[in-house]
Amino acid sequence: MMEKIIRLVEAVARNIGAFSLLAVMLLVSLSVAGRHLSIPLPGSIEIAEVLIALIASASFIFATFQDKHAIARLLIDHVSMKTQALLEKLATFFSIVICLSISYGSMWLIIDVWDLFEETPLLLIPIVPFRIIWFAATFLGSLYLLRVLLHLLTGKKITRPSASLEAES
Amino acid sequence: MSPELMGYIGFFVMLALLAIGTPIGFALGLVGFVGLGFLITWEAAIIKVGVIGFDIATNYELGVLPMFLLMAHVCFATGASRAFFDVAARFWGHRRGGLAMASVGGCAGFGAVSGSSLATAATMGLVAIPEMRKHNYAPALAAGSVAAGGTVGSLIPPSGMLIVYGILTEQSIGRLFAAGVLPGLTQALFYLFAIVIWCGFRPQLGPAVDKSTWKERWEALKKTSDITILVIFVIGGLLLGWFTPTESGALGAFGAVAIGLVRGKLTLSSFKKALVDTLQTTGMLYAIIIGAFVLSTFIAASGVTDQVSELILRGDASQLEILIGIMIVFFFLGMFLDGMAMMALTIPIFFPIIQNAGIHPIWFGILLVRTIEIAMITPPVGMNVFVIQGIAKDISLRTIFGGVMPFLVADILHLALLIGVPTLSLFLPNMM
Repeated sequence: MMEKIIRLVEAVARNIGAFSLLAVMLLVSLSVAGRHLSIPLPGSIEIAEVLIALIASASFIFATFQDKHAIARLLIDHVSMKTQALLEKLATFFSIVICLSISYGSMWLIIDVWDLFEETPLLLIPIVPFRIIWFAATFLGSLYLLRVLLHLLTGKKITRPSASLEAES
Repeated sequence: MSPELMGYIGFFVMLALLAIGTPIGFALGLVGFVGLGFLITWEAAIIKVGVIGFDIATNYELGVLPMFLLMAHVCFATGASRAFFDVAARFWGHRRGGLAMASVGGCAGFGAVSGSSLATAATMGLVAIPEMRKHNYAPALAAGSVAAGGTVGSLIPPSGMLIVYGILTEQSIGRLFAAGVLPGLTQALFYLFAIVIWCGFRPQLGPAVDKSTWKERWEALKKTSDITILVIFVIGGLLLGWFTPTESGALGAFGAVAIGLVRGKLTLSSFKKALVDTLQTTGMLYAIIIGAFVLSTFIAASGVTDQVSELILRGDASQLEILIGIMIVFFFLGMFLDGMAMMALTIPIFFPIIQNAGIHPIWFGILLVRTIEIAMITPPVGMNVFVIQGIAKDISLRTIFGGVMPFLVADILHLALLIGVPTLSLFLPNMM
């Protein structure tokens, strides 16, 4: 059940991220062409901004779920397997702390600005939904890392969504 | 405990976190967050990380990153690396060491679309090393030229490293791209000279191959013409002020997709892969950028950089001495850390110092990226060397590091040139 939920979240993030990438690419290209042909697209920057928020949120989930965050292999390649396992637990724990902090800070701000009805200046696109999406991305990332830590502590095998995707393809 | 002392402790805690394998972005962010918590209040620290996270996630200027990454990944999918190597091989292959020169030339051309040293070395290695070995090139020259050649891609725009540097230091990405052109080209020239001299002394290392006809050269050139025109248009437009960096990246990605479709090389599955790869790299870079911004807020609040700056200025150190000192630190860090980690880790500390010392931030950016890239081929980490070893498994690490040595000498001379002649980096940005 949990595997299915994780794979669903990852698929949603992948599709939203891919759609937003293409949308920004097309929108910004059209806006440049429009500007040089004297057919401006007013508000295109505002739409691009919210699409970029979707790219950031989706890509954060995607990179976290697929364990693609960059690490510096200073020590971990030169220690025993047992020490490596211990260090992995510690590193995952620290990752959870910062992800949860960002998540908590984002939630705090949502509550803080809720009554202000933040909008973009030209197209009046409400900002709060994108704050919620960003919060959700960091919170889901934290939950996923928490699950990884639990698996590490209990010695369960970790099936990363990327691995199951590769197996599928 | 004084704030400055907390700053120094934070730096060592961060090294420890990186050493145990904490993802770079998370390690930087955690040290920044905890440091801010102790320095100001936990409530303010929580709000600060929340503000930084969302500000970065919605920053229009940061759109440049996923757009250029998409352009690069689509270009990978269309097989651009082979085409760039073929052109250079057709023109230089008949000379001694010509295929090694072609590898460097191919890396410079492909670097213009990939923006990443590792990616350039990896993709060019797959194409160039088998070709060189087929023509009896010494394994050291074959592997060394590609490992070193990969680093050329980091200065030639659009460069991923320069984009991240521009974001972290709030410098104009367009000006940084302009600044990277001449140093990138001169670096390639230094490498070509290194090959000429090396093969001049030991001709058996890189025997000449049959000379191509002009028809063959023209055919090969035609295959790269579309991507070359796209890169010139995208980067030229940016330098001439026709587009912003984000617009330039979006047009580049759009053009790359169009070229892929016209060539018939971009299938649905390769396009999906390009999108997925772009998302993965984007997510990783966003985490690093957020972490670096949280860390730099802490470092600034701790007053560490002011203290170090004061010490340096009181010691009456010249700009050159400061620069050389920083470069030595980078060489040292480069033995243990990868490029992005070094940049994210050191910019919050070094950037205010170089600003206080009156060193031009654009020039410093070029020197920084150049030094980081030298570390990519320096033992014991030398990421490019490991990538090449992964491709050519029968060539030992020792042989590859040996093959890289002449290029390392060229690198040090080139770095000295960049330090001694700042105009080389600043001429084009000053024209903008």
